[in-house]
Amino acid sequence: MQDEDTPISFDDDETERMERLLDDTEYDTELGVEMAKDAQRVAAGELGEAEFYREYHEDVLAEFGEDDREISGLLDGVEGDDVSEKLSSLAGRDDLSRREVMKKGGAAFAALSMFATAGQESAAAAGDGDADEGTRYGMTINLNNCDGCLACVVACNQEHGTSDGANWMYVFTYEDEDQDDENFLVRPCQHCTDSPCTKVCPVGARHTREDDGLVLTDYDICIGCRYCEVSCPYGVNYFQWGEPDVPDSEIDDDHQYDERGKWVGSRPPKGVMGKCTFCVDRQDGQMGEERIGTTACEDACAMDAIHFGDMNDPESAPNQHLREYRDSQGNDMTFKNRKEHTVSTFKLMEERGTDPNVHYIGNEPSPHARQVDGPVTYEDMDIVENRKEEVLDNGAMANDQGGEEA
Amino acid sequence: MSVDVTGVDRETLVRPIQSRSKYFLVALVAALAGIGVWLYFYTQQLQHGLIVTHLADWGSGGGVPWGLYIGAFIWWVGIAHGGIILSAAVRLLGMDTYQPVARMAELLTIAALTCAGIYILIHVGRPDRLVTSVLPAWPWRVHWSPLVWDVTVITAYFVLTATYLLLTIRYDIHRLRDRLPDRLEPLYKALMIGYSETEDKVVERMVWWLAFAIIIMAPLLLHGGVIPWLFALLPSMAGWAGGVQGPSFLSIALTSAVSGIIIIAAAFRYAYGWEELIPKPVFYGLSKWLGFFGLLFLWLQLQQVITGIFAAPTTLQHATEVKIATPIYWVAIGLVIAAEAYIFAAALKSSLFTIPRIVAVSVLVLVGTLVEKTLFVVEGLQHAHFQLYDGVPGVYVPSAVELSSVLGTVGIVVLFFLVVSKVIPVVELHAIEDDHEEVRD
Amino acid sequence: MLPLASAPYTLPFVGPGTYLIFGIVLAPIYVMLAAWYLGKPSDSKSALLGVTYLAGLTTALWGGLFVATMVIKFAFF
Repeated sequence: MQDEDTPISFDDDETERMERLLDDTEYDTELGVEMAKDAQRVAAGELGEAEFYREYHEDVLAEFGEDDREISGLLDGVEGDDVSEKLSSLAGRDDLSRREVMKKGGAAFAALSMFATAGQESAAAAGDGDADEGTRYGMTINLNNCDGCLACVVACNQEHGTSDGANWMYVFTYEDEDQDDENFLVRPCQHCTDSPCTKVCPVGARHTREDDGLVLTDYDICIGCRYCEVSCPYGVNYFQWGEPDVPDSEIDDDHQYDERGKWVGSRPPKGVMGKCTFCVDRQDGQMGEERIGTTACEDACAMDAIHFGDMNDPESAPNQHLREYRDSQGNDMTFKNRKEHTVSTFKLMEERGTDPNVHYIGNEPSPHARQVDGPVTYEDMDIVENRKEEVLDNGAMANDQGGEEA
Repeated sequence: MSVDVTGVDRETLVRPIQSRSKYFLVALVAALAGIGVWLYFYTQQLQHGLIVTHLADWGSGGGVPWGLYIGAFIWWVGIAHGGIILSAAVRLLGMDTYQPVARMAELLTIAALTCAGIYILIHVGRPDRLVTSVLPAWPWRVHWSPLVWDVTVITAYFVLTATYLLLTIRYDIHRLRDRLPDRLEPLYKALMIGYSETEDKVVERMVWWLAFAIIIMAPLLLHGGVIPWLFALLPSMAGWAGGVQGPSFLSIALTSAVSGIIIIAAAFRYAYGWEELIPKPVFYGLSKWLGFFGLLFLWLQLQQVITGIFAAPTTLQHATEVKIATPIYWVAIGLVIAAEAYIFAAALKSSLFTIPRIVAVSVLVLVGTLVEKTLFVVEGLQHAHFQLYDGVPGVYVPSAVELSSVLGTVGIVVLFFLVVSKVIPVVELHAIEDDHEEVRD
Repeated sequence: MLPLASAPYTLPFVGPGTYLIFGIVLAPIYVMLAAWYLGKPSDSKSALLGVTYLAGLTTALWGGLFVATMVIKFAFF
């Protein structure tokens, strides 16, 4: 952490490191570095603020579509007598979230504050390139911590009243050529930012909620065509083929209706599609204030594997966990140009172009990975693994004893 | 070589309307029985939900959510293309040989598209919402959803074809009025609203443009467009990707379409003694077109197989290997190859050609194309890019509920023709006129 | 630039289907309608008949489907 009075040096090493950080964003590295240098000159009183504004106005507009750098006015309430002091103090403060700093001065400040707090990398904030405010719910799932106990699967099924075998949360135990022993892949819905399911839905039942990015199904509109299920590369959709196991009378309205009054929560009715909702009823406060920002699977996990929260908030559970885990897995820094940690992360089937919001810590299964029985089987936990074999075939050609209640 | 049926008289043309074939009752009973069986099963599905089928969630569910219903849906849309192919051939390209069967083919389009629409109704989990959820959402969803594109284009194709029929029937009804049953007079009056002979030339031109619009839209943008795009645009299934799907689906559609026309035309020829009206050369010509489209179909299957097994990306390789290791795939391909062999032999030696044989071949081709389309859907779902799910293998055999729908929809097409053939001539009056002489006056 | 996907999270109104349906798929129909009214021989009465058929059939098709779905709704749902 730099002393807030010490100007940032722009020697070669520092510049290189800044460039690398900026390269992670989707914005112009060169512009960022140039602006940061000049922003520092403003802070040092070497460059006038109006000149700074004029110099980069066109470039900022071209890059970001807007130029939020309001030099005065927005800096009210910031310590310092003149602009340069204000800029310096802004850069040095660590009680402001990166988002707030960005709001106050656009990219230049982002660059400045990023360098000032170098080393405190945030998984999401600068990386997503999304300088807008707003919640983006997602997860960090640490597969190294997972032990395959299936508690998350059971908890989800119980909380949402899913029918047998409709495992919205699902855990693979697998063996793989390039990995030792048994490995786990925890698979909730990825709540993709670029989800194919919301594109293909003919009636708009499957949609993304504007204020927090949750991908939800409107059970009143869905016609049960199953195209979302067909289009999803992750296989997270579960159709209600017959009468639900849990009758409507046993589900509270609070669990079903979200803050917009739409029926998107708990299990779907017959003939309609359902999937993991990231516990939307919790997020809307229906289960109490203390449950906002949590999910049933996260609560049930005893191994600290699942972390749910706002990916845009550097202090949220998923971002904190990633940071802490990285801190705990140090690297041999004898050699330069190494990351300070040895943590491998991935997003599942990222090449499919879906922009998923579950960030995994661990190794992605290769195409040669094979699913095997886990240390705890689905049968052990009295949940169904192969839904067709164990439930639907009994219900097919439904007679009075058949159906999903079988 | 053009076929000349201009010597046939009008009595022959209206024979189905004026007389009863002995096969009529048999066909009617069979059709109603087939529909009845299907309705019995469909009621069960409406009561219990789609759990009565053998469908299931793919992935951890171990099943396939789309199966015979979707395969048959695509199949019927394919068969529907016969109408425009024939009409385009006659109107746009002047292939008068096929004029005697052009209207039958158009009617087949209407019937087949109706069946396709019924399959959507059968397939969805909430048929009660099919209109109330779809229509209001259309203005927003048409910009994104391939299913909405599909619904839009099918509606357009149906409406354009029906308009074509309604416009062209006026010429016939006006001139055959005295040979048509009196009890249907209100219907004929409605169909003839505002008619005067001066409209004939105008309408001829209008339907030319109608045929033009359909020939661009239906093969290229429906069965070679939005329908394969339902699958090819998705990121989920390895066996569905690629620009080849458009041409591949179209080749199957055209093959099925010609098969359908051959069967319908042969049925009418046989039932009403129409050897003069639909002479053998018409079927001989159709068989060669069937041979050509079938060849395209096989050729495009080859494209998919070879690009999928030589050095393909892992998931595509796997999906293709599964495809060619599936015995029933080779049954479907074999049926088409057998058809090709017969057609080729008969093209070389015309004495080998008989109408019963080409009808049998057409039936086999239809079976083969239905199987191939269903396999495409099902095997695609069984081999997703997410290969970890291979640990939960899916087995799909259509249930009795699903199979009965094929019987039911065939019954609906038969019933449709039985009824319509009693109301309007199923062969154009133009077909027995010399070079559209009446219109050119 | 086609606005094919972007945050924030709802899909933009305009998508690939906009161009596909209104620009390509319906183009033959636009041409056909123009030809019905323009060129020789054409007649606005016949053209109107054609347009009425198009609109009427679309209504009849979806109207009929609506009735069928309502029957299903009251019988089974």
